[in-house]
Amino acid sequence: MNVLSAARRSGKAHLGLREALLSNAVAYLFLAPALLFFVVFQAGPLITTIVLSFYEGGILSGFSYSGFDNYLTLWSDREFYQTIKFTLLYFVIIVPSVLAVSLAMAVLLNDKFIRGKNFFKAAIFFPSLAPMVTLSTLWLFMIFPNVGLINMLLAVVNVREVEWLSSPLMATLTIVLVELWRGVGFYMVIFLAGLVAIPEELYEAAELDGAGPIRQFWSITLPQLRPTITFCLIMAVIFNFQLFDAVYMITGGGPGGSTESIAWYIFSNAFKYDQLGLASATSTLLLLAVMSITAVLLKVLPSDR
Amino acid sequence: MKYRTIVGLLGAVGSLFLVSSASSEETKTIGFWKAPHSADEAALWSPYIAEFEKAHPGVKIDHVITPWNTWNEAYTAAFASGNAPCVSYMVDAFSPAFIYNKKFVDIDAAGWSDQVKGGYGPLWTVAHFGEMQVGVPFATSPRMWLYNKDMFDKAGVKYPTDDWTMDDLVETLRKLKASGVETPGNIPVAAAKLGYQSYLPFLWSMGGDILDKSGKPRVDDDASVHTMKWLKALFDEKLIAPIGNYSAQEGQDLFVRGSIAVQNMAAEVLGKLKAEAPDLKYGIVKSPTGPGGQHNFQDWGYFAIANECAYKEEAWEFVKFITSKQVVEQYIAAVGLFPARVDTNLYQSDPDGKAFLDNMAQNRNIPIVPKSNQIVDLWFKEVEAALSGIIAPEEAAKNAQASLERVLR
Repeated sequence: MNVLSAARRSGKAHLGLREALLSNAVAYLFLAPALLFFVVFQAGPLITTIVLSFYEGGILSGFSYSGFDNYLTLWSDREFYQTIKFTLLYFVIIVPSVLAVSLAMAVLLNDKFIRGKNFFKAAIFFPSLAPMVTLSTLWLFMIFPNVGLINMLLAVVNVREVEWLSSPLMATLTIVLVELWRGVGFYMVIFLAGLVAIPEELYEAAELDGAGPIRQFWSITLPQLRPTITFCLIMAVIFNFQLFDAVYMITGGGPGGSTESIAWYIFSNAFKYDQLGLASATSTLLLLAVMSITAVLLKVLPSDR
Repeated sequence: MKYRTIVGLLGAVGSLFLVSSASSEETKTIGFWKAPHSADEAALWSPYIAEFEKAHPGVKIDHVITPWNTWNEAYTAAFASGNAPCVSYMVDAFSPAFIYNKKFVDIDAAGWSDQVKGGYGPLWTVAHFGEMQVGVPFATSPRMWLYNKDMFDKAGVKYPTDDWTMDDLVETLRKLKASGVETPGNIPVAAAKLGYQSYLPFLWSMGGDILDKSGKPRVDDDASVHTMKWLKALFDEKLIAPIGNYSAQEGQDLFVRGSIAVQNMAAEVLGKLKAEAPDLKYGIVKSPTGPGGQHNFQDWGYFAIANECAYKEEAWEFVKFITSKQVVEQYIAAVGLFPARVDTNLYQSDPDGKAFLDNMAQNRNIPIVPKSNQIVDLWFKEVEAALSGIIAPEEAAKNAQASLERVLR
């Protein structure tokens, strides 16, 4: 302590600080492009969205300050509650399903006795790379009444034609199926990376102790994968709360508004009805919801081995 | 030396600036945006644009074909960012936000109307909203009911006539179904596929509407509830294709292929029938009559001039040219639309086209008021929920009325 005080008095510490600043300046220079990108495309729009949530109007009609009116409108808007209901229903179905299926795929493809692993990995991962518009169009062809591939296959086994988009349940399941198909590859790759990192000796020791594959999965694989599962869960929460493109492309929010997600509600208000203020208020609430859920998950779930 | 160099450089830059200013003064560029009505849209317009540019030296037309599926986003971004095209083709049902935010030149106030309105008769007012003439009416695609004569003959069912009623429609569908026609009719009312256009004729014919004459919502009255119940019964009896199965376009395709016996269709189907099914025997008939009369849906397209256009006089000259009798007759005939001009000879010698043309006066549109799009979306979402059996028609009517009252408050 005394040495440091003496060094400060003598100016040596000041010199060190300057060097440190110089050294940081170089670091900031390297960080500048990323920081600039962050400020322009993320922090800037985020702050603008929060500010706009206190204004009514849109880009065609102009804005005027309205305090908390947009939030009060949301509070009493039945449409908004309907979108929350659907988003939560979708969320509750998709998050466990996508994680369970991708984990199962990863465990299967991590087995040394499986042949053609790389082919399967590529095939399962491919939908994650394809644009959602392409995937949705493909699915629309497959679920088309009468001549759609799925109904034709069902007809072969004498199963009655399914009207995929005519009821809220079937329309929701269709969206879940498409999103599942798209998401499985992404999470599977992350799980595979986690599986590879589990020490082989643990399995050898378990085998010596007489543990079978199921026991090994529950007692070694799952506990060792906890940090990966936590990461995937958080990613799935963030991605799926923003469900939009599949709704836009496949159901258009129907039937009867039963598949309108929160992101759809934001889009409609912002770009169809010229109510960017209301859309910004909804976006702010969505941001708070995702942040809160993520914070709770980070608190509750273990993040290290 | 140094001073001379600097002066020389400044001089060169100044000259360049002057040259570029002079050239921009010489050429006045008019942006012209239109969504396509044909796969050959660019080729169809290019001779007219060339002719106009030749007749107006110094004016250049910058023609941009805007896709329909991103129509709203493209035009909203352009008008909001101050980059609106001088001339744009607007569909009335899509454009209330532009109209009521005063984005277009009022043709009446500009003193231009009298130069052209003589060719339009009563149809001049189809582009008159909010006490403004927002553009020059151009084209429409009227609707009528078409039926497949072969399917009717095979089923032994009498052809519908222009005075048929809504009960007659139900009876016709029942007879066709009973004789083995799997999907007798298609009434495409999926909200995501502009289903309100197919639903509204029934609502109007039952005596209902979205707004009353004072502009207040009236979607919870008896006519509204009865229309939902009436149409849902058709779905429940499987007399028409399940809700959401086919859009109007897909239904047209099925009709042309001979898979659907009867459907309310836009006039574009005539071109498709001639090109793809010249042997198909069909008949054309007016909408079935109900207690509220006999109605069908029809919206209009018009050419508007942006208020922010720097060359309004030149833009007006261009609009006058592209809505002239000569251009209208050629372009509209090429794409199979119907004209707003009443002084053309289009479809006069074609019985099918003439039937559509003569029936246009009976057709109606959604109310073009501020927030039209939101009003229609919120209302029809509830109608679709009722038709899909998610909620009862009475509840749908109540919900729709509450939503519309909130929006219009």
